[in-house]
Amino acid sequence: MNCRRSRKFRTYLLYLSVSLLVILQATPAASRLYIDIDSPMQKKLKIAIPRFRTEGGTAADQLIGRELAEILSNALDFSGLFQILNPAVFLQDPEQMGVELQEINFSEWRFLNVDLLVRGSYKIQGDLMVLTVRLYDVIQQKRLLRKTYGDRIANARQTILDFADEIMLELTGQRGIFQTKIAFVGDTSGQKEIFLADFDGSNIVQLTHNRNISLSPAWSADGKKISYVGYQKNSPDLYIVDLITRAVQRLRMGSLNIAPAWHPKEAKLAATLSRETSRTRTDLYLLDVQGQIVRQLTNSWSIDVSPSWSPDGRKLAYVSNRAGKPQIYVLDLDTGRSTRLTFEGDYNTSPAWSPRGDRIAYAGLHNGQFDIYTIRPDGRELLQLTGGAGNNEDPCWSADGRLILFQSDRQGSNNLWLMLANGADQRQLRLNLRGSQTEPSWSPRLTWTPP
Amino acid sequence: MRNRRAWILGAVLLAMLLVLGVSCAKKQVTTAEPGMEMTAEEAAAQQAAEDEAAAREAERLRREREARYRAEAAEMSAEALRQRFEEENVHFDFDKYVLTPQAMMVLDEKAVYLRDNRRVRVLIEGHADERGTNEYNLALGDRRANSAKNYLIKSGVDASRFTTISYGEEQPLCNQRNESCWSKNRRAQFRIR
Repeated sequence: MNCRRSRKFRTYLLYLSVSLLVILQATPAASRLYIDIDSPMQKKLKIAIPRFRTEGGTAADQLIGRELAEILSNALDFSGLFQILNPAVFLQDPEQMGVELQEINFSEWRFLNVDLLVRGSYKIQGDLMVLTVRLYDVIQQKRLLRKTYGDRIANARQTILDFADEIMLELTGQRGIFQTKIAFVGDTSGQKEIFLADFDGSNIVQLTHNRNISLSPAWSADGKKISYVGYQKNSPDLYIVDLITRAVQRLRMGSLNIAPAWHPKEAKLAATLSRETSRTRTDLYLLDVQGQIVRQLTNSWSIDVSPSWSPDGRKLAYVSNRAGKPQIYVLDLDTGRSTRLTFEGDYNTSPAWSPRGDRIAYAGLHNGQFDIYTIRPDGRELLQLTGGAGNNEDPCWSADGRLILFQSDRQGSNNLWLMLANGADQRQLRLNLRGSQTEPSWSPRLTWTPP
Repeated sequence: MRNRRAWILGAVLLAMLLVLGVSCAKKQVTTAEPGMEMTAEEAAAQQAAEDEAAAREAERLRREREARYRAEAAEMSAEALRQRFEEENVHFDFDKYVLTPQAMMVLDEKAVYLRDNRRVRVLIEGHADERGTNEYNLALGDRRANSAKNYLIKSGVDASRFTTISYGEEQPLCNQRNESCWSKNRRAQFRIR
């Protein structure tokens, strides 16, 4: 039932977006560089989110309503799928607007060309809040979602982000990325440390305090662990931090222990080791979390580094200089055979396999500048996503495969930037941190509440 | 280099001429394209002779540098020598870890120092310039440190005296974005432990 309704609605949205696109084309598309033929129409849906209405609350309670609407607006805006209607053009005071289906004046919203409307109402009791949020289809004048939450006011952001994910599920058939986190390297303290933040750059936490060099954070498939490269013992070793128990483990199998990448299904990781037994070798290995070598994955005289798993865990994209220059290769773990993926350019690196499995993003050097590209795993349909704006490196994907987070020095120092998977909507991630930020890694959807 | 090789080739040909006798010398000279009328065995022998001569020449130059270094070292304090050992870096080309002739000259001096100071143990750090990913550059730094180490081992220094570490692009000596700066950063650096 739910599914059928949703499919019908999506068909409708497609029709709607075509007409919307005609209107949008009158104004120049802001920063779109290249059109992804896989998803040709990254249409934006116009959504109105008036501030939530308090039921019998005080003036102070009303302020919370504005904040809740803002959290939801920012989250949906972040996804790149919505155009948020500016509250200044509302035709009525949100306090006077109805919240339930029969109370809503749909003709007013249609007049503003709105596709979707969110109405929230809440009651505050001490430090608890009962919140009801609804999503309406303005054109069809029907309710798509209605959810009631009871939680502490302090958890309001989490509650709203859960509803934002419900909206994405309803409209796209897939939950959003509003309950994900990012990890990255920051040098605020003067030394490189690992930081965590919410998907939108809020709630920054410094994970390591090594006062040394910490690099290459990587999320485990269950989102509960982070592996990174640290120099605490005066050598580049792998560390695994359990985000829940805070236990830290060190893995050292050679003189060089770098480039961790967690298996998408099992508690194993691929990494690059330089082993004492073969000191001129820099190969990829599969390790378990105790630091035992499960299997040697590559065996060549070249540098093999920066592995990235296919979502099914059967293939591995990585960088090798076996043909003289760094290029991207794909290793088939069933056959043990590697095939070269990239042939354009002299220096291609940091592959990132999309969670949908359909594309591999990477950074390539062209005319002295690094830019982000994507390519199909079979080597076809090469797309350039950035260009003419500094160096752009280290791409990583959001869990839903719609967004790419990367580092760019287009404004001087390296910072984290975002774009849609087709290169549109490039913007800086808002991070309230001094210094530079590099090597982003995006978590899967988190099912646990961080401490 | 090319001159030397031509010279050696000439010497080898001359020797062959003497053996073959003057009567057929003319014919030999007119068809003196290397290998044209030589059998595979002769070509291999010539190659071996060339290689041996080149190696002898390299060894001669190495000894010459060694003698010069020793002469200089005789005038220097132990502290100054130690400083010179630590401060002189070995440089590499972009995205490369093979030793250049220049790099070998620097390493030859270090080998002498290490043979003279048998208790000295060394940490060799490998570094890269900022271009490319941290991960690739960490691997590159590791290879560079090992290139330097293996050369010193071949020069007669015991392997157990070395430790290597790669810092990739994380510890640049120079922070501008130009080739002169990058070339300083692509290095193997030596610390006495």
